[in-house]
Amino acid sequence: MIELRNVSFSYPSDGRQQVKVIDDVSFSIQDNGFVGITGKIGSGKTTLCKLLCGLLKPSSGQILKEGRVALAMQFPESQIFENTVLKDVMFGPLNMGLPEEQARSVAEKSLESVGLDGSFFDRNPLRLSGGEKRRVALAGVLALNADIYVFDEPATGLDSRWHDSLFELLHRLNDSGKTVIIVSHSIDDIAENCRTLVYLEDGKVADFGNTADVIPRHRSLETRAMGFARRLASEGMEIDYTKAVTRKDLADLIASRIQFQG
Amino acid sequence: MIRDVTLGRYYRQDSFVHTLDPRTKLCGVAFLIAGIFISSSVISCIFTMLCIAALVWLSRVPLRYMVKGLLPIFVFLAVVAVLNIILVPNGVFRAILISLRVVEVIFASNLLCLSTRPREISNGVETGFSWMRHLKVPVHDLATIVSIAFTFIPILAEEARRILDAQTSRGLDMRKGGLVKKTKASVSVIIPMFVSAIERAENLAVAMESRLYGCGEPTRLHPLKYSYDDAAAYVCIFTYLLVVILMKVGRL
Repeated sequence: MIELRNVSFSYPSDGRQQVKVIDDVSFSIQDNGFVGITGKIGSGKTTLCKLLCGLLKPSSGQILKEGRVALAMQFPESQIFENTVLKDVMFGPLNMGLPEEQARSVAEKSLESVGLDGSFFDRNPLRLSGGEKRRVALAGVLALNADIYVFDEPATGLDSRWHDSLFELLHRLNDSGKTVIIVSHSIDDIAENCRTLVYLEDGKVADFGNTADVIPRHRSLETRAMGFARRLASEGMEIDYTKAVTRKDLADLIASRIQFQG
Repeated sequence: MIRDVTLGRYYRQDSFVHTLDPRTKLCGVAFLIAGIFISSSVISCIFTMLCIAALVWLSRVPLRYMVKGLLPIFVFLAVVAVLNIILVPNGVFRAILISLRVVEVIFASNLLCLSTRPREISNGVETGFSWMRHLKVPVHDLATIVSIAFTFIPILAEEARRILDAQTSRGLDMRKGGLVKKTKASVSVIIPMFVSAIERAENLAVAMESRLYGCGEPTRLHPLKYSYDDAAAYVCIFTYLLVVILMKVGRL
């Protein structure tokens, strides 16, 4: 479980007026949750990520955590530095104090979970393709064997095939009992995958709750499925677009309006 | 400390120093540095320090902001000063003189960066040294290199902070262990930094070429023009250098 109590954060001042990036934020995330954090650019998403992981300390308030938190930063492939894939993934487990054999075993399992088999282990990670580098970097984070995983914009720059397999991986992680927190500006990704949503506006929690309940309350959180349903409603179809949060919801709503013949 | 780097950063402010022509500021910094190295007494160093203090006050850049970014350099200076005191005869005097000189050079060049946008510096270098084109010196390319270097300092500092955060979340702790362990740990930040810097440079080169860099003589959107303030600044600059030379001659 992770709980934020009246957390505020300001970056150090350069002699001018300080701006509160995170302002009196309170919410709690239960174990095994699948949570999305969204908001406009500059709403404090990445700062909140760093606060959750302990990379930043709150200026005021408290963050209570049960279990270890691991962070996959935006473009995590920039963290790669070793000369083989396996060594790079072992970096985290070795820092945690695991013996080399155990670290190797954890790293191999992590690499396999992201779809990289033994043929990749001894390759130079800096010479892999962009998608493969992202997998190596994610394996490096998964190898930390944390209880809570925070992913900052995990799908940025991915093609649709790897995008889908990434979210499959996150669901597998969640099914194995881990708490998954995704920070993303893509409301479609959050609507399709997250059960709980934190909506940030100017560093404050504008809304928090069940994703299917929060999204229809804010016009700025309209998903593509909702936009399509609204278009159908404006064309005369009797459809409540606020109920078409995900693609599946939309398909169900349309199916209920179509009369099949034969 | 990476978070506090102010070297190369422009500090937006409406001040006398900020509005001066970049050529005037470049000439001023060059004369200041020349004056600093001509000075061989503590009195002339203190005179230079007072001149720089006046410039900082005129620039309206908070002193705290300037000093904060230079803290790592002050640590280095302290080590040099201690070594001078221990190893060199008459070391206390030399330590004070060297420390003052280095601090002055850093403050003068940092003030130039804080009060001048990188493209203004580049424009100033190019226009000020345009006569060197007759000697086949690639002034425009050199000015572009200077401009890009200044622009990249804060970008690379930000990148270093991002990589450090990523490695810290993988359990890296740069504060733990001895010097050897810390050096080994820093490899996990330095290598991604190099990779990122090379990738950025490559992308920038392609982007510049695709926008026809080097295909002809570029024109200026805002050609540089001297004002009366620049004339006053030049008078001050020459007076400063003259005073320092007179101090040297008069052994003050």
